[in-house]
Amino acid sequence: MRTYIRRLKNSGLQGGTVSVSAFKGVVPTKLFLCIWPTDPNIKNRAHFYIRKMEDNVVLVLRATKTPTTDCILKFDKTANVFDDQGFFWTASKGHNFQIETAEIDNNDILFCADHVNKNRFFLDMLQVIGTYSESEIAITEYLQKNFDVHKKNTYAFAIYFQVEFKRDKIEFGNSCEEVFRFRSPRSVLGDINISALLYEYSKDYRPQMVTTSVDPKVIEETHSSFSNTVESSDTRHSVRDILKTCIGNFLQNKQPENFSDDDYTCLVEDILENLSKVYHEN
Amino acid sequence: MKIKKILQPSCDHFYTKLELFSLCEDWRNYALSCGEKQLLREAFLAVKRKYPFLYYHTLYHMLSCPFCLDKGHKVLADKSHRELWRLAEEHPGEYLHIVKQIQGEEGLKARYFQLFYKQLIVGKQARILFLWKQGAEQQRQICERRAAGTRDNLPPNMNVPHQFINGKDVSLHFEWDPVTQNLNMSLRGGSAKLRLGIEVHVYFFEGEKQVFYGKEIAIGGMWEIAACKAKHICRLDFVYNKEE
Repeated sequence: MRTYIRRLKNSGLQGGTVSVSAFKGVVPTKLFLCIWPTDPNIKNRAHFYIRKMEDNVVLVLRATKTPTTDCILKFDKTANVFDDQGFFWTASKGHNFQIETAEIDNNDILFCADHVNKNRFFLDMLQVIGTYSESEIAITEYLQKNFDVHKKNTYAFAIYFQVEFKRDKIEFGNSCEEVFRFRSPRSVLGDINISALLYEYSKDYRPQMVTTSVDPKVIEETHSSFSNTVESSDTRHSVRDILKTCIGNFLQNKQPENFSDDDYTCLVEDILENLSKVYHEN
Repeated sequence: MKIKKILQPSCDHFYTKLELFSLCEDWRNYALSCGEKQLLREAFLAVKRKYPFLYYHTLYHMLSCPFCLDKGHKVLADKSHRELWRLAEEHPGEYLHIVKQIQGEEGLKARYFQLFYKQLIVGKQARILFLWKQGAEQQRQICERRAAGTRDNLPPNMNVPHQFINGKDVSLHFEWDPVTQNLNMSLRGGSAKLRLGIEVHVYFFEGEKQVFYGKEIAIGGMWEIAACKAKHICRLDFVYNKEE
């Protein structure tokens, strides 16, 4: 059994819930909440990595630089992210949250709670985190205790789920692939989408065990990069140019009329080759 | 570059594949001239002809893999039916009711589900699902269509597990009629009285169902399934109703 950790996309706090786009049907076994001071770019101050600790694969935040004392995260504008109960579920877009904080400990797991998610609201999950320690504890207090957060600062947060998955084989007729799947896609309540994950195709259609292990991946937010790369007019233009050029070359080198399937295959191969260059995937 | 290197059911070469399918499946307007479009259409048809399975398997992957869906955002999500995962994970006999239900649905999601079902499952599913039922109890048995001892997609003889038929020895026998090419299904063993309680529900890939009653052949004879339908048997329920 492997573990997979993925960053949830946080598209704003709405109506007391964080709208996230975890894969539907995923059953997280652990939930991580990461909080960091909001120096404009998180990459400058911290990075995440996956580490094996005891029997668990955990997500770790490691600060790369000492946070400056006066960094402010434009997280939200007015919000009282940590409200009376100590949760930040009331935050709405355009709100700041400020707490007395200091440095986040160098290489510690920020938050970790045993929890099985059932597509629940963020608030519920935080409560679960709250009860994870022996007595219920407010998030501010937790931070102070565990991360020595006491200087005034503004923070950003991210939520991570740890999900277990297993290796499986998918066969359609003579086409076969090795896949990783979430452990029990159907055990979750609510909407269930797809269960397949991290596909590995075995060569030449033959079932074949994959020997190299695939490390858990942290998938970055991709929607924005998708629209940036695929939708940008530069890309659109170069794709169009490629098509035109390939077709042009094809017509030039071949006798018109009566193209064979092999001729067509060459054309498609040519197009694919050039396309993969555009996307740096060759 | 070989097409097979890119056309793989995996997360590799995501953007290239996305562009390829956008072209092949007409998901996007590329502002090409009529002649260019026509040429590309022919070329892609040739690829589909050459690698039919790979083409649909790869497309299936992109529409069912959470990572790819995630990257493709709306472009792929619009076409991904939420039941798509079943195709890879379950025997079609288990989700025929869903197939039936999706036949009534409209839109791209349903269209792609049906496309994959047709291209990857129907006629290519190498196993047949047997369900033995009595009262609330049931037992599954999956038979390879092309295993040793089977002929023309069906095992010649299936012994009914004892606990599902009052402890008696009964078997289900299949035979292709040499003249009509129809499939003959008969029972071996069991008294006339016992046969009265037997029902055989045959499910086809299209989601249809045909029920055969034991009383029809209580004193002998065979049930007949038309040749064209018999090739599409996907699941078979053997139901025994204990006499009250």
